[in-house]
Amino acid sequence: MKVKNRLGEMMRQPGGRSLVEALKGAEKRLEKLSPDLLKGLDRAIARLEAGAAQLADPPNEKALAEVYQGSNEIIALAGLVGYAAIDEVAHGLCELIDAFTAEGQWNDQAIRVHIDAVQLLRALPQGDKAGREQVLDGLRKVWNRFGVRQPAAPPPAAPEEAAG
Amino acid sequence: MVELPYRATDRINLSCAEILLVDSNREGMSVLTQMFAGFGVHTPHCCATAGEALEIIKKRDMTIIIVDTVLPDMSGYDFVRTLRRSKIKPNCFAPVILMSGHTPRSMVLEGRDCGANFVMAKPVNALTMLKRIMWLATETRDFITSTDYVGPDRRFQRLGPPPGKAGRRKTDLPATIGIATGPDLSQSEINQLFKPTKVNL
Repeated sequence: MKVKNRLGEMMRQPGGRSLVEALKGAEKRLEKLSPDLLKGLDRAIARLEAGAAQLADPPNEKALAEVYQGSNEIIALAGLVGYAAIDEVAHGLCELIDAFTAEGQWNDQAIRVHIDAVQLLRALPQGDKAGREQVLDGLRKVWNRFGVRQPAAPPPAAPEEAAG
Repeated sequence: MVELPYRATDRINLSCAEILLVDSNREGMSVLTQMFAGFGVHTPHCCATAGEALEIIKKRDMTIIIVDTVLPDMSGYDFVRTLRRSKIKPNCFAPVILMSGHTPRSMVLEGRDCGANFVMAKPVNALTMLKRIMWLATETRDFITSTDYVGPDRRFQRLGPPPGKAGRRKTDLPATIGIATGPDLSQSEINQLFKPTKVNL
């Protein structure tokens, strides 16, 4: 059945703001959130570490869920505060957990190297591109070893597309 | 990439929109509220649990609903299924965007099959969110209600039923082309279909 598109009708009402104004307004507000987002990222990393500390071989379900959720929270925040490399590691960790769960296998070292990488990347200066690449190169070998899909890069935060 | 029939100078009016945001993560909620405030939304309804959100949809008519897949009391997918089957109008038809950090294919398919209009991968930036909202504003898909599925038509392309299967809908065309029922068009009639020209009578 056809349903009235109320959102479309509302958005076309007179008034409101231009797309550029809307976008700039949102981005300005998000910039101010950065300190809070960084705190949230650190909390997510702490959750990841705490979950990983409880992991055993074979892993218990609760600890594994904590590691997975910690990674999910990291994915939601890291890219917004300039930590795309941490986002990539967290994606890789989620993919690895999925692969292990699907295939019924487990490798403790493969998981722990991701936790170490997240901690290291958070501690590295933002300008240390070579250091970040070195960490990621090492992890890519782990992902290849276990046939894990390479994580996609997070979307760019820059709004070039809308300006044209 | 979602193609949009909009220009940067076009205007959008979300000042009267009722937006329901469901996310249990504090920072995730802050990102959404600030983003929508920037878009011009005055009164977002923020819920940390599916239970709170289900209470709100009984009282207010929502223009758009944004839900995280991970909630403390039920999954975002189950929330969308419950919403779609709630028969609370117009909210059961409201556009829903599901958001998730890790988005393997299985989760995206589950998002589609639970009745969400769109699945978005986190981190969500303002441009991507604005594009999705504008895409939803131009949404023309039918709304499907069946025993197995309630939500927007999952077919984005008109490719017809799968090979070897008969269509299940009145609008499905048969896979095989039948015998012509009228005379063939002349070349000038065909040309007119492709190159319409102004005719002076």
